[in-house]
Amino acid sequence: MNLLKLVGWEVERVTKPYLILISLLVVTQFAWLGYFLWSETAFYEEMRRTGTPDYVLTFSNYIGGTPFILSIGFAVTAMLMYSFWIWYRDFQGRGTFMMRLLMIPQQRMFVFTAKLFTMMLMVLGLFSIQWIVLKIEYIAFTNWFNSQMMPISGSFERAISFDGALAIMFPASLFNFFVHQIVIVLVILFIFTFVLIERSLWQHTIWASVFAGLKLVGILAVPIIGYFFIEKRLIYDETLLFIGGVLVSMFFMTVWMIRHYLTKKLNV
Amino acid sequence: MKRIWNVIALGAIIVIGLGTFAVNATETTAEWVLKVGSNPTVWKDRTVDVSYSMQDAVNKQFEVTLEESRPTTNLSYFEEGLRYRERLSGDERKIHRQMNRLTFAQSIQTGRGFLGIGQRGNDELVVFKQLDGESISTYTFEGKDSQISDVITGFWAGLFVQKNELNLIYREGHDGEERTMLATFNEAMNDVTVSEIKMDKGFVSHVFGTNRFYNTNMLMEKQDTRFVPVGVGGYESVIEYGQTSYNQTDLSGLYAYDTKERQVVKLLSDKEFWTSTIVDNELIALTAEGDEVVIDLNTLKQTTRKTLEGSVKEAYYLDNLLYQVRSIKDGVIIDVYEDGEQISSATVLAENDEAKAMLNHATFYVR
Amino acid sequence: MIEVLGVKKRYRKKQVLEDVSFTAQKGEITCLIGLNGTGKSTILKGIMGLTPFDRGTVLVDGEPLDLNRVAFVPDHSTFPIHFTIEQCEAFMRDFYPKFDSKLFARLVDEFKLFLEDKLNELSKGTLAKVNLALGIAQDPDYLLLDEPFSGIDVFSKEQIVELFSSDLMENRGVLITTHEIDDIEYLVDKAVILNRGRIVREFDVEDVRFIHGKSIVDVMREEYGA
Repeated sequence: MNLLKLVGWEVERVTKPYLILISLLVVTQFAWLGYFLWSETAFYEEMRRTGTPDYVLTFSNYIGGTPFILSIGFAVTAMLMYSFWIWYRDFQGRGTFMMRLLMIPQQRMFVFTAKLFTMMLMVLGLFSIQWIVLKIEYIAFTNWFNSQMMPISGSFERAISFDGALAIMFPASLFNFFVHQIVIVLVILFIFTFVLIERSLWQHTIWASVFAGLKLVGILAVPIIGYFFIEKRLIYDETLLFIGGVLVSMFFMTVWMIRHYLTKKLNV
Repeated sequence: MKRIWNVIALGAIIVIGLGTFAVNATETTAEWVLKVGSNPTVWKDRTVDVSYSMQDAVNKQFEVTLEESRPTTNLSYFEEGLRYRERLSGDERKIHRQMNRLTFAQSIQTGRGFLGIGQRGNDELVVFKQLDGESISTYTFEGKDSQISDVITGFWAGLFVQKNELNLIYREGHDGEERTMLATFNEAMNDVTVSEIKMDKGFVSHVFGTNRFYNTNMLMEKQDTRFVPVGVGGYESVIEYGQTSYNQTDLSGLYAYDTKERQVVKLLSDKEFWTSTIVDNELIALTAEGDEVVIDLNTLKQTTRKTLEGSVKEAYYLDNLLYQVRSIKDGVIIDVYEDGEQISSATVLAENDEAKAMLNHATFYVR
Repeated sequence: MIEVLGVKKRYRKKQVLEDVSFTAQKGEITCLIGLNGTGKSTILKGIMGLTPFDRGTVLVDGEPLDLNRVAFVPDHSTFPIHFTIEQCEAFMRDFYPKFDSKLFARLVDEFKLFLEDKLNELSKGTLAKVNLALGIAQDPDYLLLDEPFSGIDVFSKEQIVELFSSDLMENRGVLITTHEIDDIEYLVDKAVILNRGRIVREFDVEDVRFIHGKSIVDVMREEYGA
């Protein structure tokens, strides 16, 4: 229950910027959709006037557009930046809220868990909203072009599976979706680890960031370099096993480091 | 308490959004069933690959056996790994591991085992073999040797074995200036001889029975015969806007490399061949009219037999058996022929509506 | 009692604390005294685990630190500045099982605070009173106060000093750091003087006053040679 309360506090503090982010995402995509529908219709009409138009639109044309891609990129960047800010925000000023968080009688790892949980709620929230919005966009897309009697082809699933980013975000297999979420969690954990190492060494000024970065690069380098050595010896199923093993060990390694720095090393 | 409502609201959005996605991802899969009409031994360890492809939908593939029907597209990483593991076993894993390390790897299967070739960048040519149940041996030839360098930079057509020596046919040059070459590796694998194969026209484009990449389970077993079946290709030149470009095409007919006279000969030219296979020391080819031409690869003696009535469009060989696929209501019927006689028949039927909807755009392939 | 045993702390190249050991009893007010930069705040933050000691141990009644029993009141707020006093109270209520809302309400009343005020709208003195109210309302066995009088007006100071002699401090151990010795001289039971990261003198204030006729400042002058 205490963990849930802490998550509640974290979510409350990010509610306004999160709603702004979602609004930006949705408005950008629908604005682009509106422009796309209007411009394609105008172009098609022009072609129809001069002869028989010979092209077919797919939903992929819309989701391949720059504004759509940028909207997703912006959301991803915002999440990455917030993964840093969710910690650094609490170290701001002399009266740091981190001091208060570290003094609550519950385990210190609750602080980490609450922040991780908050990040995942925000990430999954964005995934959910994007999925719902995509469906609405597809319905609007097909209804509009059908009403204009313009030829369209390709199913919703086909358009998603052919788009690089969306195929990763919404894979056809649920298991793969969970695996991708675990990778996202890992990225967040790496960022958390960086912040905690840096904040444990902040007296060393810029060198704290450098040292923290080097430490994490060193950890990442081990499996990457190892993979370069053994990649040619591995068959596909063994490669999957290797990657799975690396993900699991990275997960435990980062959680251990976070626990170590949060409970024993952090200076406020 | 008020704060927890924020969490609950966000949780609700996640449940709705991702719930919709999850339902989408777990839609009912098409189900198929393989029913054998006669001679079930022919179908033991056989799998029918069903491929569905349509412009407006996502491509889907299924494997259908006597025991089960399962999708092979949109698999999870775990299922893909398991499936890969099932398809490779024992010695095949060792060969795959060997081929993994090499680029442009090719291999053949003989009665004694596997032989293959590949290269490491442009620095080394590597020959590997796994014969008589022994472990894999590899032999490396340095690219600094000009002969080897020519082999490495050549375009490889395929492999065959003659008198225990491994032979590689490849071509040099391009755009109408090709030369077909033969590299012969001695049995001790410490020497290679390179010579040119004179061609009247075109070049050798492929050698029957050679596998590229990792399809070791598709290999036909190659015998040591005088004549080695090959495909012959050529280039058509096209002049467009003052620029000449070349398109590669395969020449029609059946060809073979005569290892004794060291030249490519045409076995048959007056017929259009749909598909072919090598069984022991015979080449069996199916014409577009449904006749099978059987050619002895040591003597070139030919016989012809009428095998198929009707369309050969979905007919293919697997080892020494000819499979013909014909559409029926709710599925297909697959007839199996050996030596010109039908020996078995089976049906693949769509079990549910999802499968029935795919029938018009599905192909069926036995392996 | 709070036992600080053999603690050491280094910041970059400076040894801030060197083998510091002392005790603070429950029911007594113990004052840590020293010039700026002698490590007083570091000791309090180290006790709370906010700035971990490089070496040494801290025990509270023979056990490791229990944050339910020890409250720390720093010389600044530990809440985001846009929080209202009410939000601060709500946070404390959520996470401190022993947080006494009635006691907090009493102190809010005494200090004439307004719950809807944001922290960034408050004066330094008012902020200090809010901090203290939140700390005391935790109902801790031990209260650690870091410069509670720093930069606040004389009336706020008086209100805070009154608290120390009220029933609210009965049976609590108080460990306080301050430069304003004169304001609480007669309330302090024990003084610990620090110089260059080491304890140079630890004494019973009343004994020194009655036996030697010296005040805490007199003893400080002796130790610092001023």
